[in-house]
Formats: sequence, structure tokens, C-alpha cells
Amino acid sequence: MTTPTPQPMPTPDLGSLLRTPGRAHVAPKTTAPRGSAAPPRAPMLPRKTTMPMVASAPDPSRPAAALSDSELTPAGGKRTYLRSISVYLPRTLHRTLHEEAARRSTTATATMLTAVSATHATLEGALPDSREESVAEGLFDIPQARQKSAEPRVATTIRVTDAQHQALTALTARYGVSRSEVISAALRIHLGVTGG
Amino acid sequence: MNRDGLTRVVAIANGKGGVGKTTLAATLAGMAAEAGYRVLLIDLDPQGNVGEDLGYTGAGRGDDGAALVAALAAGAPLAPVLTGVRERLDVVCGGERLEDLGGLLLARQKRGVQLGDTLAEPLSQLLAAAEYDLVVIDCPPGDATLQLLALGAARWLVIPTRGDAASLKGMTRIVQRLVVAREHNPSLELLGVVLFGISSSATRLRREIQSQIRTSLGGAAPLFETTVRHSIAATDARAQGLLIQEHAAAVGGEPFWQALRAGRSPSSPGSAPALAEDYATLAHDILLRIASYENAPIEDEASTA
Repeated sequence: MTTPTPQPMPTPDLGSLLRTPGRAHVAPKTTAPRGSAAPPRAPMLPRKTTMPMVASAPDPSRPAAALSDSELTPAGGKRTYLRSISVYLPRTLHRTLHEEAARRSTTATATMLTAVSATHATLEGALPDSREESVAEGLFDIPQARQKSAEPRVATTIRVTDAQHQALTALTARYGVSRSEVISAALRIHLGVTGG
Repeated sequence: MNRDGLTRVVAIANGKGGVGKTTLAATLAGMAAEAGYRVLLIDLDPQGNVGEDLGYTGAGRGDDGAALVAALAAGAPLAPVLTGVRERLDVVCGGERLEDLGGLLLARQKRGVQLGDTLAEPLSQLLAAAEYDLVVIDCPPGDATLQLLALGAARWLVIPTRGDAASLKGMTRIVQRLVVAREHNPSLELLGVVLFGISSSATRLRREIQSQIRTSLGGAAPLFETTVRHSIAATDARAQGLLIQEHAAAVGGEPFWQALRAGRSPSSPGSAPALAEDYATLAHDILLRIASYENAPIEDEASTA
């Protein structure tokens, strides 16, 4: 019989555990607090401190726009669901997305990414004009309030890989609109939805 | 299933007992309710100690988890057992009826039944009918099945831990379960880790433990800056069925002459106000962090609009 030498417990590596890839069976969603009597809200923090997780750094030498469809498509290659991003979709488009995802037995995340992957090269015509309207009379240009969306939007949170996140960011930069507008436009084309 | 209603569900869990889960769950729920949130507290622990913290066990109320078992095992609608435990705070009670639930659900799982939505589904239905701003789930330390039910329904996980090796081991266990639960509930995030039970004067020890936890987390999740000190006031508060802030107000709110006039020795608030302040700061940090995640995309929208 041997007597074990007492040793301190090693520090557990929870970081690696937390970065373990998961399978996305269900599209994660978040919504804004329900309409009536919103609870007290804390002030917004700078975005840098709000990311729940820091995903592994992508290869900086590779331009985001050059990412292949397989990296945009959830079916392609290795996946790590590390980065949560929120997407605001018009209510009817949100509903159609979930109906379509259910019909295809896939997730809303997969459907969104597939839509962007399939349509990203042809989105320009479907996107709203990103130029900010302003009135140039008088002393200086006065930016005008953006027209409010006719339809309320629903927040949906999806978890994407760094490559997917980078590609979406590249698209928003290319078209000068928000991520939600890019995904909405892609979904409208992909799902054949008009209006909204 | 539709998880739209489950965005403000916070599970408080650690794979080890005695680390502050129940007190944190009850105090967070109580403080949020006091601050104006409509809060539902779900006690998923067979020990049912939320009842002691909120004082309803002493008042002979609660159902030992019967309603929760009916909802999880028999598909009955989930509903708060006690409403108005404090203003704006309702409770789904836990208790010893939950002891057999883990085994029952495990048997179902072995027959191929998916358990991931067992709590999420009835909770989602409850939240669709009754509007709560925050749901807090107190998880049991040992029952993996019940923990997975909670993690299947939660959007956020908060892990309270003490600085000892056993608590860190418990933390590892619950993170492993988070990874498992994410297969079914990918929106689940670790909101942060809270360090409990460190003496307020043990600065060096606190720094060392915080550093060890940060190393352990490897940047994948944050450690809350606020720590909750070790204090006998927590025991006093629970003995009276009061939350720590209520206890602090009670012992600190009585002028000495009132006690003398009543023939009692004047009470000293001791460390109760400081402990209450720790919890208040922590509750603020937790709510702030949830709000910051919720608000972040709005900021992003604004910046790109």
C-alpha cells in the first residue's frame, strides 16, 4: 500500500470547458422586456464590456469578405458557438423564419446564415438606402430623424463563430447598414417574403 | 420550443452545497422585487431552504415542492405556489417532494425521453400568461437531473463559490453541466462567478482566490468584482425568516432608547448593514450585466443605422 503525497488541487481549466463547441438544436432568442411597465434598467455599458464571451481570434491575414460560403453556412466544417449577437427582425419576418425553420427541421440560426450565404452577393438592391437624410438649409446640415419601421421588430439572439461574425460585419461595412438589415434583406430574398 | 419568454431566467448553481446559492437566489429575488421588478423565484432544491430565507416555512406555508413535481412529472401547469411573499415577489416552492423527481426523470431519460425542456416548457407557458421581469432559479447542489432542468430553462447562469478547493471542484462540475445543457439550450450563458464567504479583512487571500478563479475562467466568463463577506448576520437573518436587507433595517432601525424603554438591551446592527450592502452591490452588478447584454445590440443598431 502506498501513501499518496498530499498535493494542492490544480486550478481547473473552466475557460476551455466554456469554449466547448455545442450543437445548436434550438435557435436562441432574446426579446426586449415586455411592453407594459418595463422594469428599471441599468445604464448601458460600453460594448466592449458587454460581450459575454471572447471567441478565439480569427486569422487576421484573411479578409473577411473572402470567407467562403461554408464558413457562412452552419452546415460547413467545424463550428464553435461562442459569440452571441442579436438580430432585430420585423415581426412577420421573424414568424416566417421560425415557420420555415420548423418546416425544414432546422434552426432559425441555420436558416438566417443560409439566407445570408445564398444572397450576400445580391443584397444591394434589397437593402434600404443607408444615406442619412439631412436638411442643408441655413447654417449647417441638420440630420433628420430616420423613418421608423412600420412594423415592430423582434429581437433574436444567435450564436455564431468568429468567421461568421466577421463575415456579417464585413457585409454591414460593405453595404453601410446594420446587421439586422442585412439579415432581414437576405431572409426576405431567401424566403420569398415581400414587404416588412 | 419558443424561448422568447425565457430571456430573463437566471439560474443560481454550483455543484457543491453551502456556497451561498440559496441566500443569493432569495436575496437577489427580494432586492429586485424591492427595486420594482416583478420577480418569480423557483426553488428547485429538495432542501427547500428558500422557505427559511423568506420566512414562509416558519409561517407554515409552502407545499414542499408538490406543485413543482406535478408540473415537471405530470405535466400540470406551472404556477406560483405563494404569491406576494414580498411585494412583487412570487415563489414556486421547493422541498422534499422533489427528492424522488430526479430518479423519475432519469428513468424517463433512459427510455429516450428528452428532458431538456421539462422545466422550460411549463415555465415558458407561465411567463406567457403572467408577466415577470425576472425569474430566479435556486438549483440543488447534487442532483444533476434537476440542475439540467434549470439550465435547460435559463438564459443566464450565476455561480456562487467559496475559495476552497471543494467549491472550485463544484464550479467545474456545474460548468460541465452548462456545456451539456447548451446542446439543448444554446442561449445559455455564464453571467459570472461570485466569490462568497471571504472575510472582509482578508485582502490578500481574496486577491489570490480571485486571481485563481480568473485564471480558471480563462477570460471565457467574468468574475463579479463584488464579493460577499463572511458574516454571522446571514445566520441571524435566516433564523428570523428575513432577507439580509430586511434584517439590517430591523436591527439598525431601532433607536437605543426604544429598546431601553421596552426593557431590552439595545441591538447592535453588527455586520448586517455591510453584508446587505455586499448583496445590494452584487444584485446591482447582476442586473446591470443582464441589462448591458440586452442593450448591447441596441447600441450596435444605433451605430450602424
